[in-house]
Amino acid sequence: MAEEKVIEKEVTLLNRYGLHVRPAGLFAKTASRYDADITVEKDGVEVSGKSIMALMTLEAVSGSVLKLKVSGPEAEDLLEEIEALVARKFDIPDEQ
Amino acid sequence: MQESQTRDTSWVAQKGGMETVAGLATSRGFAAGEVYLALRGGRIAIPERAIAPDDADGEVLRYRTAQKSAKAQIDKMLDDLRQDGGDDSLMVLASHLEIINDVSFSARIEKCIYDNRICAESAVRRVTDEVRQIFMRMKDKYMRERVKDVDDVESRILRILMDRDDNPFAYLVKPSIIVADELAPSDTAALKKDLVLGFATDDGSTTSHVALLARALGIPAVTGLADISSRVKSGDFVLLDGTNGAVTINPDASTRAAFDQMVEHERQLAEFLAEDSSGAGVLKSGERIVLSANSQPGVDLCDLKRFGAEGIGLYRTEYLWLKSNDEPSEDEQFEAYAAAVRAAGELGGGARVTFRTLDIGGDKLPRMMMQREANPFLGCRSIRYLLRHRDVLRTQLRAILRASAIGKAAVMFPMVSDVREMVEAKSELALAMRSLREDGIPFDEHIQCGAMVETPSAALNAVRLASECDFFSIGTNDLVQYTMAADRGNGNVANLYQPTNPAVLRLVQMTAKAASDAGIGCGVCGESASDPVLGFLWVALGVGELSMSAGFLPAQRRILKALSKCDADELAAYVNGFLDVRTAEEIYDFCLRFLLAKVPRFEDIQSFFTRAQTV
Repeated sequence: MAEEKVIEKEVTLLNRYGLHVRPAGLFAKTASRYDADITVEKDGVEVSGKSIMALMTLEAVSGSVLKLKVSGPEAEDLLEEIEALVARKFDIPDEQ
Repeated sequence: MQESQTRDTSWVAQKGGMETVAGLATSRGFAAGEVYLALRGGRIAIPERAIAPDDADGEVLRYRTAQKSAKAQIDKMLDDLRQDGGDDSLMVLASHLEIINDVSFSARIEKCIYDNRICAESAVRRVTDEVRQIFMRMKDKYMRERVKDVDDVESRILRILMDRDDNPFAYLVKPSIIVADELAPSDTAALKKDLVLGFATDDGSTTSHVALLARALGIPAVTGLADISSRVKSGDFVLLDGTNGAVTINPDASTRAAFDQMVEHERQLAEFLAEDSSGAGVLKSGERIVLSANSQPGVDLCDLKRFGAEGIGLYRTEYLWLKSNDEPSEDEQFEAYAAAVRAAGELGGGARVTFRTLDIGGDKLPRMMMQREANPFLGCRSIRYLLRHRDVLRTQLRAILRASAIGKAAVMFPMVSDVREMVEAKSELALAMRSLREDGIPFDEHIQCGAMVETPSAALNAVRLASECDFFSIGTNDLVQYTMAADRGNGNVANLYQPTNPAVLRLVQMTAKAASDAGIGCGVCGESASDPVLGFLWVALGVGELSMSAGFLPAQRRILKALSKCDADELAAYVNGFLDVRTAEEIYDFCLRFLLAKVPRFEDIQSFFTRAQTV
């Protein structure tokens, strides 16, 4: 089997309150829609990007840098959508 | 607690039953109405049942069924909410659905049932407890509070497993003030928002779920009321003041009339001054006068934007001490200060927060800290206290400095009466900076540092003091009190509390001139800055910044806009001519007539200041 390609990318959280329940929920929901694996690393802790609970426990406040590792057939599409979501501050009006 | 009486007149008849409870001003606005009491009562007690090995599959099945019902409940609530147009609860509940769907979460619960041979309820509790522990250790307060969402999902699943009733608002049929111990997103999702006049809760902070919801809906709320839910019952009449953070239970007729009048004033003020709620403070002739807000922990920071503050000119840190009667830690202080600089940062235009270090003593005495003194106003208060308790000062300066890395901050020392105090305080600031550098913690190396001018000695020595300061801020309350040697709170001498006494005016003018000669800023941060007559008088005497309760900013902005630099110079010339020949009262009256002649609708504006009691 060919070795699977892992794309790595760093994103910075821009919304006011960081990766709390709402953004983490949107993150996990988006990640679950794709045929791809995603992990999120912050300060040496790496968790599944499809688990809202795990994402919340990262305590990623505003300005945190998250390292995303994505692999699988739809890895590029997933990465693109997550990046856009983070850049749009998760579309949360109070946190723009 | 009073027995219930005929509904319509209960608040009139129960004169002795009136009480006012103070809490956090969480969402602005006022409401008067009947209480609807909704008790949710914290943690659900669960049966801790061990099970036989054969029953594990059955318990897992019970859990999965409960999980499915929980999903169905939330789906239904989401549908209902979407039909109503949706609000903050919609997004939060969507996330709750994600928590329930979280594969790793349910896998851990099922594993816990198999590994420990316990019932589904116990497993849910154990696994959620593990998650809770992670949240409890979080440093960020906002993040830490999201544990409530995890609690909420846990409660939902447990209620289903144990077949308990769900909706605390089943009997809400008429407009009411919701009083609760605490409210979770799933509780408020089931709430008919058009029946809610306001919220009052035991629990909570200004960033709890109910706080966010109330602000999003524009409904007044007071939180952190400790035991309000055990003091009232459904049907009691209450007055809710979300602007100042107070709830009055069973008010008497005169209290209610006063409240109604206040509400009416607020409404008219908002309407009349709507167009003055934003933009920089500026004279008709174009000179800038900075209009900033006084603030403190627990006050709604949304007010800054709402009333167009250009920053926080006075942040009263002592409320962190008074609130708990205890020493707040560096981290606790940092959180409060960071929230303030963030809120100011959102105002744009380089808005900053001026933190006044602990101003304690005189009339503000946390029991634990102070020795009894025969003459507290002339005793060991404010900077004097801090210089004798350097650990307290250093901790506070570190917290302020840490906040300065997040947004623009300044430090201000209160009650400086000798230039050496300023020098020593600044050396403490330098030490705090050094310790942060050693710890590798970022801060603003160029943070501005100023003195409150509120003693006659500081004003008289303003030239020398200015050489040690980046700015002055005149605290008019204390300056008047110390100059006139009269306690405003003492009815027998209150007539001597005269902000326009020539002695006070001379000191203000001296201070402003010394600042201007030294090329530093000079503001007034006493509540007199919001007095419709005094605000402009201070400007005429050379003051360049007025800081006051945010609500008064639009009115003051309107007054400044109507007057020019020429008017200011003219008023200053008149007042200077009066200093040796007129009384305080005559000078005030003159200023009032001056403004009446120059400012369109000044009487209307003035009438809105009736609540501008100097604090």
